[in-house]
Amino acid sequence: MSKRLEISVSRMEAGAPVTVLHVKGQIDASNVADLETRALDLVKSGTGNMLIDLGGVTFMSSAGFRTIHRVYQAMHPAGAKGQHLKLLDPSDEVKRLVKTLGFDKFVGVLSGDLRKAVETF
Amino acid sequence: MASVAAPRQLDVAVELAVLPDIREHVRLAAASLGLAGLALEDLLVAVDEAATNIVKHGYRGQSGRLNIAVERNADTVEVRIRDTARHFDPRGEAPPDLTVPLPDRPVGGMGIHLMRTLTDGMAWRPVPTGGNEITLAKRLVR
Repeated sequence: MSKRLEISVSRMEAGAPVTVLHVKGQIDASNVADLETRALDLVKSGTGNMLIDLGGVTFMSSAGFRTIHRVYQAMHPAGAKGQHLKLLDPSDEVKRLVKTLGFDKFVGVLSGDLRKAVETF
Repeated sequence: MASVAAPRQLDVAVELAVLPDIREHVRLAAASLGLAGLALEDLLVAVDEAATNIVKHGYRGQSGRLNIAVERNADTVEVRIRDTARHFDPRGEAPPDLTVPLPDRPVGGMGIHLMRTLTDGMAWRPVPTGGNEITLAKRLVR
């Protein structure tokens, strides 16, 4: 049966402030709403740099990409500049989907150390 | 709840909560037929998209059942998904324009695109007694 995603938020800074969303589980249409609500609330409260840590995500369908798309759009209202949305440690399959769906030019994909990932903002 | 009706067959009530059960069933069955690695992951995404579409747009909140059968056919693994929902041919859906920048791109429309692009074949036929049968095929990697 469907399981809720484990989501936690941390704030880090290495030059620019970055909000990190750590997600664990399998992201599909049954449980993605929690992630979307959480991420959009962060954008509403002023988050301009977001890193979504997908290191603990073992499956992600288009439901996850729809959420990433909505979050990206919320971070980039007309004329807005300087906001960044990046993914950390997605699985090989998710990396492939990022390209297949044409997200790669807009959403950065990083791997490895969290601290170094935060420094890229 | 899930029940095994026959080897490599799964019959479940229609609800989004069963998506992980469907994926787990297809993962085990397809792996036992020789599919592995990213080819297997591709098939799982395609099957998840098909099942999600049936639950959300086929049954539209009505109750019903989904039958999933996993078979080997020559050098492909095929997943056949049957429902009793209204007829809907996913092959007729126009693909989203993925060259449009994300800020201007309409959200959604990615599921059927992934069913098409992540598999080596997507077939559809109306079931004579009512409902749909979608078959997603993935070639075994040699």
